[in-house]
Amino acid sequence: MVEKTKENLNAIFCIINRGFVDLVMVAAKKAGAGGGTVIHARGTGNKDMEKFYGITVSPEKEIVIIVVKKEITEKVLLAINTEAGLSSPGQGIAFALPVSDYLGINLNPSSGLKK
Amino acid sequence: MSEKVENVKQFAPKNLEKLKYLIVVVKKGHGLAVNQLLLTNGAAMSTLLYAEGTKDKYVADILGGEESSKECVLALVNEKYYPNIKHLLDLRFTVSAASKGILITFDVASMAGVLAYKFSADFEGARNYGREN
Repeated sequence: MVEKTKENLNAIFCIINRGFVDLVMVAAKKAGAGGGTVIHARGTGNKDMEKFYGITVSPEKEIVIIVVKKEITEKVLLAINTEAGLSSPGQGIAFALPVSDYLGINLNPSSGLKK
Repeated sequence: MSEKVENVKQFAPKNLEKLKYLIVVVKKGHGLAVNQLLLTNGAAMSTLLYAEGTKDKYVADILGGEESSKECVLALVNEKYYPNIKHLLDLRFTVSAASKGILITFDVASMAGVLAYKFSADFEGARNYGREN
């Protein structure tokens, strides 16, 4: 049965250079997160990188969305920042938004079954 | 600059309707159906994106297993349409393992543009305005 009860959840969005998703996921999983979803994206911040030898190089990014319980949000964010923050090659930026409602999320990954 | 901002008439009706931002993640191939479901049940706009699960690719290459390709549907919905949409998605996710997916929603705090808001929230029937004749 799909989860229906309302619990305090946050969605962590992490914007990271393409190819560094594993850094984020390993850090997040160590801190207690379950799985995540990756969306391909393109950055618009660094204009110097846009043209390289006359060829337009787009700063390719990936957005990782991880839904976690509110209690461990800070721990997961800290872990992501340590392993995949701006000082790392992934140059990740992570933030969390409160989830107002949800469906189909397995909050106990070890159980293997949805509530 | 500040004078201009001060002179702008604020759009603040008493019966302001709230918006919800929906993110639906489903297996590849189910995104279009979810997109259609949302649009036919009151969603103002819906965007379909290609996404991936975060299963370890190294392990997946060795052990095989199911495809982790997914589709992500982003939609903006008036709060009054949300319970019906949630119910329909619940049915869709429950019916079979093939159509399993997740839905997360966020409350929209504010929006730029009165017309954009009116269209998104279907405020006082804004989407059907002028269609009667």
